[in-house]
Amino acid sequence: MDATLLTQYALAGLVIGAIYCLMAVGITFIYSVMRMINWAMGEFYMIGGYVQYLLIADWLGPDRWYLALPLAIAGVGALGMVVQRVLLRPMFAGGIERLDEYATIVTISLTVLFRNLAVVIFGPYQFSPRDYAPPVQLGPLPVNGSRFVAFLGAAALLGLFAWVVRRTWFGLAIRSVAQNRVGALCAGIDLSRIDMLAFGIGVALAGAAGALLAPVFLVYPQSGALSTVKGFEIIVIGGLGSLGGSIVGGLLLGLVESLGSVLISPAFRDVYGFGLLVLILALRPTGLWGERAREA
Amino acid sequence: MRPPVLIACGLGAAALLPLLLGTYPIHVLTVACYYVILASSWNLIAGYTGLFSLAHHAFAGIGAYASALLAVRAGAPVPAAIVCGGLCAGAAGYGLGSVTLRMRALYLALATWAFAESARIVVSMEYGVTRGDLGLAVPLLLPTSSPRPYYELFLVCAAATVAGLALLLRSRIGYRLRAIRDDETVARAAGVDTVRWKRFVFGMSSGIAGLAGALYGHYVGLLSPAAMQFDEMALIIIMVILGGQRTLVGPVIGAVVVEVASEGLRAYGQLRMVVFALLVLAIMRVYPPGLAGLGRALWTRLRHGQPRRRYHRASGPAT
Amino acid sequence: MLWVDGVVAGYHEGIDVLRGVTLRVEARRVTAVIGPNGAGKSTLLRVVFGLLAPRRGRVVFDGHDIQELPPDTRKRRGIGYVPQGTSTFPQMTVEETLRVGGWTIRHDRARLRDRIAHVYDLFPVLAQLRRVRAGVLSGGQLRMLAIAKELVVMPSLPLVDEPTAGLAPRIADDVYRLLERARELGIAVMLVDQNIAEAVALADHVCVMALGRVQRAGPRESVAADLRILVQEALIGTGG
Repeated sequence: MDATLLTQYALAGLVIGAIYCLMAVGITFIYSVMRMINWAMGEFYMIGGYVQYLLIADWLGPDRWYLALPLAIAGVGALGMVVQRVLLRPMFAGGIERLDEYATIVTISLTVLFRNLAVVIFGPYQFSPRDYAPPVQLGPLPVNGSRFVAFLGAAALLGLFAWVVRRTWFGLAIRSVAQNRVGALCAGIDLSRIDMLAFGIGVALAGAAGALLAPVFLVYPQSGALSTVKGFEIIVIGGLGSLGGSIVGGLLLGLVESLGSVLISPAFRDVYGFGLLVLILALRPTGLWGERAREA
Repeated sequence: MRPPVLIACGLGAAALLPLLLGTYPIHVLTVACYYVILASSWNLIAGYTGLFSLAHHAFAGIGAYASALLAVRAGAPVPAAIVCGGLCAGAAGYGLGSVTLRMRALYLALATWAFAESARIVVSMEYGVTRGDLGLAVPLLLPTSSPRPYYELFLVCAAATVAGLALLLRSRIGYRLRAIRDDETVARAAGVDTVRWKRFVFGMSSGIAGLAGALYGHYVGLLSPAAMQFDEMALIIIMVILGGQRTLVGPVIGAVVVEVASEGLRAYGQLRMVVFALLVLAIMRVYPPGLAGLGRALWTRLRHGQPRRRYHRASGPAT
Repeated sequence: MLWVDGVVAGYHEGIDVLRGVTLRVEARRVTAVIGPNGAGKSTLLRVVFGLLAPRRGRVVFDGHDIQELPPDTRKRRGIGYVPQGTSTFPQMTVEETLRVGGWTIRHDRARLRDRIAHVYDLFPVLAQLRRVRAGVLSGGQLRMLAIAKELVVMPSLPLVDEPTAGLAPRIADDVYRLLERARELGIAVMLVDQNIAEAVALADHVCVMALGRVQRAGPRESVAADLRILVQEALIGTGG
C-alpha cells in the first residue's frame, strides 16, 4: 500500500470528519445546555440541504452559493428556535415528570414528521446543487471542490463557535447554564432564552453540515438518517457532553471510515464506524471524554 | 356490564369478523394484532418499568430471522423454530439488559439504539446467511395462504399477551417494576433486586417481541432487514403514545388505530405519517393520557350520569 | 422593603409547604428566618426569588407586586439569591464566575470592573485564587465564591439559604463576619439558617417558622431570651 495513496485517503477522511464534527458538536452542545438528546439532528441536516438547494435553484443561482449558505444556516437555526419554544420549553416549566422520555419522544416524532413532510412537499427525488468549486490540488492530491469548500466551511464554523463560547458574554452565559443552571439563574441569566438560542445554534450546525454537503451527498428526504447515525456514533465514541470529544471523535470517525474503505473494503464504509462504536461501548461506555455516568 | 364480560364479548366479536370482512381487511387486522403485541411489550419495559429502550424493533427482527434461519437452513419444523426465535430474542434482550444495567436514561437510549442499528447492519451485511436486502423467503406456519386462520391465531396471541401482561403487572413483580420506574434508588433501598428485575423485564419484553416477529415472518413469508430500521421503532413509539402510555389498553388502541388508519388512508401516502407525528406532538404537549385517557374520561362521564347505581353499591352488603 | 403577604405555596398538587406566610423585611437589617426542618424556610426564599409561584398571597418588593416577574428580572430589581448547595460553576475560574455574577451589569464595563475589584477587597482569599477553577476549591472557598458572586451587583436584598451548612466552624465564622459587613453596607439580608445561635446573634430581626407558617417574629432581643427553647423546638420539632 503506497504512502501517497494512504495519505490521500487519510486526508479525505479528515475532510469528511470535519463535517461530521459539526453534527456531533451540535448534538453535544444541545445536550450540555438542555441535558437532552435531540434525535432529529439528522432531519435538521436534511432541511439545511433543502433550503440551500432551494435558495440556489430558485433565487440566488449556483454561482452565489456562498450567499445561500449563511441564509440556510440562519433559516435552520430559526426553525430550531421555534421548535424549542413550542415543544421543548415546557420541559423546564415543571409539570413534566420524566424529562428524558419527553425529549426522546418529541424529537423522534419530529424525525418522522420532517422526513415524511419532505416527501410530501418535495417528493422522494434526490436534488443536487452544482459543485461549489472545481477540484482543488492539495499538494499531489486532488480533492473534490465541494468537499474542500465543505471542509473550510466546517473549520470556519467550528472556529467561530469556539470563539463565541470562549470569548463572548453569550458564551459565558452558555457555559454557566451548562455547568450549573441554578447558579446561572441566580446571576440573572434568562434560562429559557439561553435554552432556545442553544438549541437553535446546535441545529444550525447540523443545517450547516447539510448545506455544505448538499452537492456531495445530495438532498433527499432520507439524507438525515445517515447523518444522525454518524452524529451519534461520534457522541458514543467521543463522549456526550464533551465538545473536544466531539471534534476528535468526528475526525477519528472520518479517518476510520476512509482508511477502512481503502484497507479493507469500500462496501462496508458505514460499518467501520459502528465497529469502533461497539468497541468503545464495550470498553468505556461513556465515551473517550465523556462525563462519568452516575449509577442510574 | 362488568369489564371482563365486555372484554370477552369484544374478543368474541373480533373472532367472528372474518365472517363479515374480506381478506384484505382481515390481513390489516392481523398486522394490527402483531403491532398490539409489539406495542404492549414495549410498554412493559418503557412505560411501566421506565427503561426507554430503542431496540424493541430489533428484537422482533432477531426473533424473525432466527426462526426463519432455523427453518430454512436447519430444516426445523416451523412451530419449534418460532419458539426458538423467541428464545433467541429473549436471550439477546437479557444480555442487553445486563450490559445497560447502570446506565442513565439517555445513555440507555443511546446504547439500545446502537445495538439495534448494529443488529440491522449485521443482518443486512451477512447476505451469505440472511440474503440481506434481497429478502429471505420463509416457510409459512399454516398450509394456507388465506389470512383468516392467521388472524385468529394472531388475535389469540395478542389477547394472551395483553392478558399475561395484565396479570404480571398486577402481581408483586409488577409492583417491583413500577417501583424501579418511580425511583430506582429508593426501590433498591426498599429491597427490590433491581438488577434481577431489570434483566428480567428486558428478557421478557424482547422475548415477546421476538415471538411476535417470528410469527409475523412465517405469516408474511418474506423477511428483509428494512423491518429493522429505526422507522419501525418510531412507529411503535407513536402507537403507544397515541394510545396512552402506561395503560394496558393504550398500546392496543394505539396499534389498532394507527395500523387501520394507515391502511385506510393509503392514498394519502406519507401524509399519514405526518399526521401521526403531529398527533403525538400534540398529545405530548397538551394531553399526555392519549386516546386511552380520552376513553376513560368519557367512560367516567357516562357513569357519573347514573348516580343511583352508586347508592345501590353503598347500601349493599359490607365488604 | 419586602413584604410577604399570606403566601401559600407548594411543589406538588394538593400539598402546601407554605400555609399562609406573612412577614416583612426592612432595609438595612438582617432578618433571620429560623425553624425546624421542613418548616418551609427554603421554599419561602424560592418564592421570593421567583423560582416557585405562590398559590395564594403575594410578594411585594419596594412597593411593587413582583408576582409576575421572572427571576432574572427580580435580580435586576435588586433581589439576590444564594441557594443551598452549589451555585458555582465547576469548570470556570473564580474570575469568570464573578463575571457571570456581574451579568446584569455586563454592559457597563467600568462599573463591572469596579464592582469586581470591590468584591476582591471583601474577599481577599478569592483575589489570590483568581485564576483557579472552581472545581478544585475547598468547601469554604466555594461558599465564599457563591456569596461573592451574588455581591458583584450589590443586590439590595440578598436571600441567603444556609450559607454555613457543612462548613468548618472557623470558616462559618468568616461567612457570618461577611454578612455583618453586608449590613454595614446598607444591604437588607434575609437569612435562612439552621445554625440558630449564630443566626440570631447576627440578626436584627428574627422570624421563627414552623409547619409552613411564621410562628413568631420580632426584634432580636425579644427572641434571644427564649433561645434555648427555640433550639429545643427546632431539634425536636413542634410536634403535631
